[in-house]
Amino acid sequence: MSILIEQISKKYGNHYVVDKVSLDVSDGELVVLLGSSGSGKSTILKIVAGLVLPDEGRILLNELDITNLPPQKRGLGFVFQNYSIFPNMTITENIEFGMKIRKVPLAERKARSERLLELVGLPGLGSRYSGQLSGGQQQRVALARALAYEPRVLLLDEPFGAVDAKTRVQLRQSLKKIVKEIGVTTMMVTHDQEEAFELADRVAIINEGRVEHYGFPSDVYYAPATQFTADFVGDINLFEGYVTASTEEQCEVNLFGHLPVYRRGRQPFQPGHQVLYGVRPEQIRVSLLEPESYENGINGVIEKSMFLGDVTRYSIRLADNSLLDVQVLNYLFIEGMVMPYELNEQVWLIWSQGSGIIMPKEAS
Amino acid sequence: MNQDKSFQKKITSMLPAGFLVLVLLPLLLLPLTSVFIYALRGGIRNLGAFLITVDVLFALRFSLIIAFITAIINTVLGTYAAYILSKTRFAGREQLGIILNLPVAIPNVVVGTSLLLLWGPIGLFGQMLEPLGIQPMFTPVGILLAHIFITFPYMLGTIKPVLDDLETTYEEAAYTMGASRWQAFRHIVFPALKGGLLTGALLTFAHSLGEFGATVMVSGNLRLRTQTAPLYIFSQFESGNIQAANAVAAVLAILSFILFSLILFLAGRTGKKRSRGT
Repeated sequence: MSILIEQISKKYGNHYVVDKVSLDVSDGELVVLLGSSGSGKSTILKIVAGLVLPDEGRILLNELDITNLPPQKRGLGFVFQNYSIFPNMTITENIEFGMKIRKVPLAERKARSERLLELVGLPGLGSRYSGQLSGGQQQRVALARALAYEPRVLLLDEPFGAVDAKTRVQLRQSLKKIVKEIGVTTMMVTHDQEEAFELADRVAIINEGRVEHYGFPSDVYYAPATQFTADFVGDINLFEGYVTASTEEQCEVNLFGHLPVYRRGRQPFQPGHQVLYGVRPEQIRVSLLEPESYENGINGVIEKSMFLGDVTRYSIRLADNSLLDVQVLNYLFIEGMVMPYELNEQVWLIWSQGSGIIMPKEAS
Repeated sequence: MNQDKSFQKKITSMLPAGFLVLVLLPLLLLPLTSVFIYALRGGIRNLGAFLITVDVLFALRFSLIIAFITAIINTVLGTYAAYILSKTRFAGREQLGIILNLPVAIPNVVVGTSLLLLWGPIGLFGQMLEPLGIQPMFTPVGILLAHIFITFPYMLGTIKPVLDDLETTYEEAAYTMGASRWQAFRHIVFPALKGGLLTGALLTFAHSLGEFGATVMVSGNLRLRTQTAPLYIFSQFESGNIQAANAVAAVLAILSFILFSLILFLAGRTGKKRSRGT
């Protein structure tokens, strides 16, 4: 079942919470809407579910317009952030609720709810009440309940928001497995980028009710379309600059008015364009030796070092007084592959001409 | 020395509670006790004799019936009002909430007077109804109208907080699973309200049972027709028949005590349930 969201908008008062959002989700695909709280991502999901009506735009399910269809008629499964397991019903009754409303015969209901409890890893817990379950178990019940009447589309609103970090990782794994096993088209909302990258076939970055970038996780990370996306997803060092040359093979950008850096491949910029040039901390290597001609490099002084477990993060003061963050894997020090750096040491920061992100500079 | 100090501390810590008992005991408990002492003065048998007169039996039965019907009507009306105020958004919602709670703030006698002015023989509607032979005042209907008016906020006040606490996602979850608005109410909202409904109904019942100010205005205090138990007590007192008055007062006090214990028990149970997160 494919979903097509066309130019939907929703206004509360004079404020657009959803602003001309368009997204397409292919059959069986798992799309994650990633954004900070208040970005409008949950409202988009509720509009798809029919719990909120859009002011403008259309929603098509397998090319059928469902924009004005009430939620009861859409046949979608929805997992709420707080799970909303009905407290007056047992787990089995919760799972069977949708089937009961649809008048599925008792025997089939029982069989299906038992199968679903097995699927989500809670066999034998059907006679319990939600108050007797842990957060993680409740999440599994909410998932089983949403899948019970074999919905055409599954919608998940921050499904791991209320469980601890360790359980979250386990639940993520099992969710992806279940969803892919059933092949149900899924849209999920989260503010956690790790979660988004792990689960999503495609990610939509949502900011102030708009889609900033919609694409594969690796594209969102390594080729973000906007400064917001680059900044929101992972860490990045951003510098203002301008394009000095642009060919089919590479693009040359001048930083600080004197430092040329190169990016391999054709870039959609012309000489003279004001741009932002970004490089992620883990893409940079620290060295005492100058960069090779096929690398980008800049020198500076180590000002701060922070041990973060798997990595050490260095802040390096550049000649123009700006700071650049670099991340070094700690095992490299342990194995003796890299010598530890001292504070105030003069070093070179080197990165490949294949990395680095060039983005249009947004008017501020 | 140390022991002395700890003893002193104990005494000091008990002072506020002691003061409370000293002040409240004469204020609250002594009058109640005196009712029972007076009622039992002539012995249990005597008390029983006072209670099985036609007038007393009518007044008690009448009071219980009125309280029962009031509780049923206000359970429906109050729940509906609470649902609308809690779950729907419209202009003037807050103001409507205040208006619906007004009966608590208005003296009951005033309620009785205003009902008379509206439905009485010379009242606005009463004038129109009289030629048709309809006269709600000085009949059980008039008493019911007064009691519904006065006890309305109790149901609303019990149900609305429960509904406010019940997150809308429960209903939304039911909708996405295909349930209609009514099915969502019946299967999800109503079960959550059960405890509150019972508490609210008992509270309404208790208040109706003891209502005096408005009832005395709208009932006409007609013996064996519109005389409720509190009105009977008042009438007997006025005519100097204090023991008869006390006998019924004791019955009302016991009934109220039972109702109050039930309400406390139910409220405690729902409170526990809620804190368990179920």
